[in-house]
Amino acid sequence: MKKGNIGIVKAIGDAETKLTLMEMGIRPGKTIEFLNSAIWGGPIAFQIENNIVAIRVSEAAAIEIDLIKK
Amino acid sequence: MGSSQAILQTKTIEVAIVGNPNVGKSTIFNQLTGLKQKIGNYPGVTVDKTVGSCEIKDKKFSLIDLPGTYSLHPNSEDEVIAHRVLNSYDQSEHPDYAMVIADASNLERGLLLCSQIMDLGIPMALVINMVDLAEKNGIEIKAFSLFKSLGIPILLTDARKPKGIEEIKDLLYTENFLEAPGFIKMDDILSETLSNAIQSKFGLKTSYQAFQLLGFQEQESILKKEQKDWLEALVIAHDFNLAKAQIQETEMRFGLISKVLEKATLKKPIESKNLTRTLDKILIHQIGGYAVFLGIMLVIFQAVFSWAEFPMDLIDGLFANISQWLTEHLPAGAITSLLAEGIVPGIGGIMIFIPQIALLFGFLAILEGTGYMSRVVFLMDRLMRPFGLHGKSVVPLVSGVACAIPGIMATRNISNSKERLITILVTPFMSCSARLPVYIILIGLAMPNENYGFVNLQALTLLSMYILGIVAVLASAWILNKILKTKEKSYLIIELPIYRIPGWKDVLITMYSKSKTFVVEAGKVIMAISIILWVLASYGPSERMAQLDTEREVAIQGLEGEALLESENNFASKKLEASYIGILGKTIEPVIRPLGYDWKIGIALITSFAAREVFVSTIATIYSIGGDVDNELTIREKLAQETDPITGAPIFNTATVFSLMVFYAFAMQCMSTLAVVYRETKSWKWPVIQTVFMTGLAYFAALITYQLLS
Repeated sequence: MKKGNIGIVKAIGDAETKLTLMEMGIRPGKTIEFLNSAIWGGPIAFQIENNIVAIRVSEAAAIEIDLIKK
Repeated sequence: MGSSQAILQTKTIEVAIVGNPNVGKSTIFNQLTGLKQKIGNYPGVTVDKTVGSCEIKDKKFSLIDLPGTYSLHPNSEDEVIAHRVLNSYDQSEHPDYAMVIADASNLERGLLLCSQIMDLGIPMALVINMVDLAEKNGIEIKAFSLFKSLGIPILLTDARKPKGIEEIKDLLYTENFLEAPGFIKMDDILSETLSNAIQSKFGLKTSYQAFQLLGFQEQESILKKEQKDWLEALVIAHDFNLAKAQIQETEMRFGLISKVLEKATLKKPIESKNLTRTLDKILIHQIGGYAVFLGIMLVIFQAVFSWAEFPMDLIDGLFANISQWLTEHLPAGAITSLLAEGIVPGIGGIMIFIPQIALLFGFLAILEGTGYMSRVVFLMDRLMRPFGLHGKSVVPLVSGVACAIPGIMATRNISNSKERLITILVTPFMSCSARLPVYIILIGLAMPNENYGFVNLQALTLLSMYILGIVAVLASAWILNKILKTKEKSYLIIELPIYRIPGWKDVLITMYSKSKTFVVEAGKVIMAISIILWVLASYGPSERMAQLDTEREVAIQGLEGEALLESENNFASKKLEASYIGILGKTIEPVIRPLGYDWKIGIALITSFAAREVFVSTIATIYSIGGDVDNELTIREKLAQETDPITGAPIFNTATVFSLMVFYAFAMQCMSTLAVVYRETKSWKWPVIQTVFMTGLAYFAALITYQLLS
């Protein structure tokens, strides 16, 4: 995903952090908008419903997304 | 009946306050309890236990502020505490009610936690906070519909307004709390046989409590070994997959919550200007974000140092006056001397740091309150990771510039134990405020107060000392990261909350409570060491001391004014030399000689174990400067004149001064910090390793500095 991309969460793969991601509101069917990333492949920040959430790329790898706007 | 009525009236009602982070929970808690808060410890964990009291009309309440959590799953010690308190496992806490706080704009997430608490079976109420903001964003909440679906009292409010707090007080006063009907059907997650077995063994009311116990057994330190083994065996016997069950539980909850919210909320799409997203375009920008962060840090440090100077001078003067007054007005003797030279300066030595600590934590609380702090974690995470640190390590390290003690205590919200340990071990390398007076004296000796181009040489040297501290932090963290091993996965999942104006009362309460923590934690250790050092410095082998006393009697006879003062100072210096601490200083002289120090500096190194800034007053006494210790110029002039009795070369030459500065930058000389490290790591292993490593590094770095420069 790139800056400005919008997608819909399709699924969260099996990861140790799956439960935490779900608790933060990252669940299938939710619209997700990529906002920004920190330098050198640092964490990524995205808008999900009313919230902005930041996670590392390694956590983001578990989230499957259908892009709806590039 | 009269007596039972009286008992009812005086009974304190205990209410646990729970909620997600950033829902205004601490604002509500601070508004209700003000300064009537007590911070204690929960057994077995390092989470602060914050309990406050408040009176509403004729009723007394004890409010337990539980740490902000997203769920009752064991992600960190915070959840363990929420779970423990809500189930009354801890013998000292039995909350009568739970008051759940949720953010009106984030009800779905708030209801996840709320529904879990509902299933625990504790009487509760749901306070939906920040309703005004949600309405502005087009979210309308129907309280009655929610009440019908959930079966617990609902309060829609805005706790930032006086009316909101009144409504919450009403809720508490009327004790409008209800035991909820269960929210999810537990049978699908935890079989009835399994649930019944656990419930009867532990005397639990609901099936969800039984499920929770399974989830928390590993982390819950107050369970007995045999209880844990019993649960473990049960899990294996029933082939129960906990992680899967927790995910299933969460999915079920969210499914039901969506249905509840469909009925209870109306969403009007409002295209409002989103301040947070606009600000974030700069504040979390790949370049701009870092520039702003650096700018904010510079402004904060500038403000902390310049604003703290005046109150620090006041405190310094006050305690010097008290000491002087005591010496003049109390009968001379050991007790007076202990008071005037041991205890009062000891207390003064603690108090002097309060302005800097209060100011720095005030600024940090403002950053936290605005929601900016999470952005700092976001920005810094990638930069900290190569060193085995976490984005969240930034706050402890920044705090370390004032004092390592509150910094180390701020590591508690780092969930990965390895990252937390590294942060604890390296934070004392940050240049704390106790090093500052030492640097200022020494820099004055070594560097001319001249400008080189636009740059003042002394200021540049001071800045280098701070940078040296940061380099030591990163280098040692990098080494520790290579050595320490962990199986725990490091992760970062953090909410970047909307920007808002910080609650000023919250900021003031943070300043107060952090200063209080410092006084209590550092105070007792500094106090004890001050007294021990006073004994060591005042007494020595009696023969030599008595001889000095007689010599002094003879010498000061007939002397007046300047001459008397000079003679007194001279004898004070001689007595210090003859005291136990003087003997100690001479004993270590061979060890510190290669660093360019004589036994007099050795004494100052020893007394620095109380607190580093004691170096200045010790040096003043031992070089018989006496009198006006606070006048840095006097000390500098005197020290510059000191020469080696054998070679005649100046003692405080450039090499020695730089070697000393390097030593103070690296050495672990703070007993209070060690005591806190012991408490936070729950073992003596780490404080010992820390002392050996830091002091060893200091020794060799100082050795190299001296040998290169001399």
